[in-house]
Amino acid sequence: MSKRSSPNLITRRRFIKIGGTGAVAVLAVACAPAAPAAPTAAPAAPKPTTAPAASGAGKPGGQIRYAMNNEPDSLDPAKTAQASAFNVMMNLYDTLIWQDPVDLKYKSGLAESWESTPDGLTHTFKLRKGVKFHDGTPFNAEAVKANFDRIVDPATKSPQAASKLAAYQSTTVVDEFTAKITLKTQFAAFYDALSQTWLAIASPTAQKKFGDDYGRNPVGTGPMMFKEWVAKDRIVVVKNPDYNWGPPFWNHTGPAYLDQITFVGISENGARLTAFESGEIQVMETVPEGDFDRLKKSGKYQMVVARTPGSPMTIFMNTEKAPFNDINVRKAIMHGLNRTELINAAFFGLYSPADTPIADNTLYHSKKAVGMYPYDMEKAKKYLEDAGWKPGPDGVRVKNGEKLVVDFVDLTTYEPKVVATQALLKPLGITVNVKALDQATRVAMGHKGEGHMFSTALLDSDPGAIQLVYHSRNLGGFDWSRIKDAELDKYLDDQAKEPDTTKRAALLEQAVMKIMENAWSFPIYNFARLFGVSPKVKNFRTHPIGSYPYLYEVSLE
Amino acid sequence: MRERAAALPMPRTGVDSALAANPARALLRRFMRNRSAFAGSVLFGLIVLLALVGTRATPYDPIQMDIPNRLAEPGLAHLLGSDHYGRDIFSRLLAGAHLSLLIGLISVSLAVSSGLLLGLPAGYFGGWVDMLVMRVMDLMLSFPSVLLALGIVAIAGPSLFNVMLAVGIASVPSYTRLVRASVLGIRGLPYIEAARALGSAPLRIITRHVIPNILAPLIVLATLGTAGAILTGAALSFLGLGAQQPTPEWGAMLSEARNYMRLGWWLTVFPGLAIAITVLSLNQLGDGLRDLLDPYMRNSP
Repeated sequence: MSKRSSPNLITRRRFIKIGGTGAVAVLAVACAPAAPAAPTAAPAAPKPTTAPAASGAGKPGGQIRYAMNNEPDSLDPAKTAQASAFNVMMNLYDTLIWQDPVDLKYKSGLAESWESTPDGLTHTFKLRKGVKFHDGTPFNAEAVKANFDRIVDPATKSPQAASKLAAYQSTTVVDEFTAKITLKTQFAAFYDALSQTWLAIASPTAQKKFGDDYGRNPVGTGPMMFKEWVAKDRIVVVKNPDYNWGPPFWNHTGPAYLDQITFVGISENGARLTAFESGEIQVMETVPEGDFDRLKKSGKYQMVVARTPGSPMTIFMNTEKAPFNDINVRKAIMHGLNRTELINAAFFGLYSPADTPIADNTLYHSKKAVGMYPYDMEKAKKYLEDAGWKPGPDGVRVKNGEKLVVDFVDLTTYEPKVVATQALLKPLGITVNVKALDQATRVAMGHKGEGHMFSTALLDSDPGAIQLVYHSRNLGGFDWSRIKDAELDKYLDDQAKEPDTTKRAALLEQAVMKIMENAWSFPIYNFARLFGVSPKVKNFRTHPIGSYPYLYEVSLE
Repeated sequence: MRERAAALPMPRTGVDSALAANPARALLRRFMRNRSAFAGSVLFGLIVLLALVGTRATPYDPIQMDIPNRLAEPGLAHLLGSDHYGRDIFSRLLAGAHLSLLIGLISVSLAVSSGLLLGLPAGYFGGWVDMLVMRVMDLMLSFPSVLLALGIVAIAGPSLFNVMLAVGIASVPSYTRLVRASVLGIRGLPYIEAARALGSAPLRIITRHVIPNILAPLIVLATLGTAGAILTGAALSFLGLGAQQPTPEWGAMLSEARNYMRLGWWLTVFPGLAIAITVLSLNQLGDGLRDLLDPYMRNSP
């Protein structure tokens, strides 16, 4: 698994398997970054983290090389679950609708308009006319039906797209440019799902023609056309000269500015950095924090911190195991671990502290839980005293002859976070053992509850994703705090089906408050992806989900 | 060298007869004249001294983070600079020195004692004992020693103690083979036969006559082996199998620093140098001892 997917992401495939409902798309992140925005005066609406498109035309022409940290497994949206594949596919395909990165509303894509019945079960899409796939196949309602039917077909074995369409019943071709989609059950995140590239529309002709090899010969309607894929080396895409059907929020219309984009997968950080600094590549993904700081200070590059929506990097405390079966000890950690210091120590201050299980740039973020656990050493000490943990002779607290020692299990790559936690909790009299392990081992330990502290972030544009780490059906899965709470389960189940946005926001707020009041998890910092961009590249900005760049908007100086 | 030492008849020859009055002083004088052995022992002595100091006192707390002073260049405040958490590298190296030495000492002691325990009976009695012991050793030798150590730690779980154990176990075969070969070389010599004729029990012959006469090559191998053990230990810690955070073990320091190596050369250079100098001093010492103790090399410059 680790070979096929980016090493710092919990594979979505696993998430989905355990996620169950499929109501949410999840890309969980092992640990991560956030934007430098201070979360003090949070606005009523979630804070957009992507800037509006810059006005003014870019210069057409030129090509860039883009370095990801791994090579995708497939470019068939129905058959991949990888972030790197999403990155490439966003250029090759269009979705029926797009989420605006600034106002987070859904805008027209291949569908010009849509309406749904009040029960939320039937959705009718009026499709754009005159759109052609790269192989000349016309885009129409038949293509939509063919794609969605293929995704839910068990024979496709879709790792990600099928879970987005778990509520899907059927598509009816009303006329050539009208498709009616019927759902089996209410599904609050349906439009969000449709806006993600996993549900992009591929050419049915090409899918038939290439069969199982379609993933290596992708044909979409997007601004770039697939040219070649040299295994273990590069994927090349070139401009689609006919393109004129992008979402309204992009910075221009018509074909993309760039003639060609070459995607390369370089997994070794050092090699990727060297290629970037030598000018061999123009955009670099996943810059190590220390080097991000260094490159930023050099002033030679555009260094981009792209916030991701979903759940912040969160510490999960195993509530089934002593000492975290005691709420006082959990609260002591939440008051006693200074998040700002942790971010400074481990991540060179690149991310912003988080406050609630739903990040402040995500739909239905609520301010209510913000500031519930400010850093307060005295309060933390008092909670520990109340719980019976008294300072021992060597500074480590003891209770009934037992020392206050906890194991923090995390991914090797994110050892700095654990080491910083260890150092910051030491003054409190808590010994933290660092268990830095490989992805498979640490996930297995989290699932089995072997250890006291675990951490992960979730990447998703829909906040319903949090069910994955808080719903009791995921006990034995990603419910690493081992929460079994019927009330919380109900909030999470109800919000997934609630079509009314106000009611859904209220349900999610109740869920968040429940989690925070019980100190079940400790949101640490807002996750972000770190990009290094050559100064020659203009208009670099990212998509709201997982912060994939809109390379369509990019032009060269 | 092993074979030659083993095939050696009676080592005491004429050159040193003038000094025979006080063999210990003669050995010391030769030792001082041997530049490699002298330099190695002085350097190693210094490292041991620093390690002893390091367990008691260091300029800074080796695990205390100091974020405002992170990545400080080597200078007056931080002699060898500070790391990405602002921890003083010199203090960490000092505090970690005894760990590296302990890895060497404990694993080699384990290997030497196991080597003696297995090699002596194998060489002295021969027959099925020899057969059994040596086939097992051959089996162990068929794995590269680092791989064997890696496997042992992987099973036992990552910890510094397990690394010592693993490195020790992995080097048992070479010591066993050396001991056995040495014993084979002297087993038939007249003084052993004489002891046997006088009715000495095998245990007495082994402890009184065999062990003292096979010590020389064993000391040389143990000295060189300590250097090897420190390297292997550092390698296992580098792979995250040895010392766990925040223990300032040198291999672990090197491993942690490699993620930040572009931010400051001193992060990787000094732990690397510390390992290199320690290993070098032991290798020099071992080479010198071999020159001194191997009679074939005694008269060469």
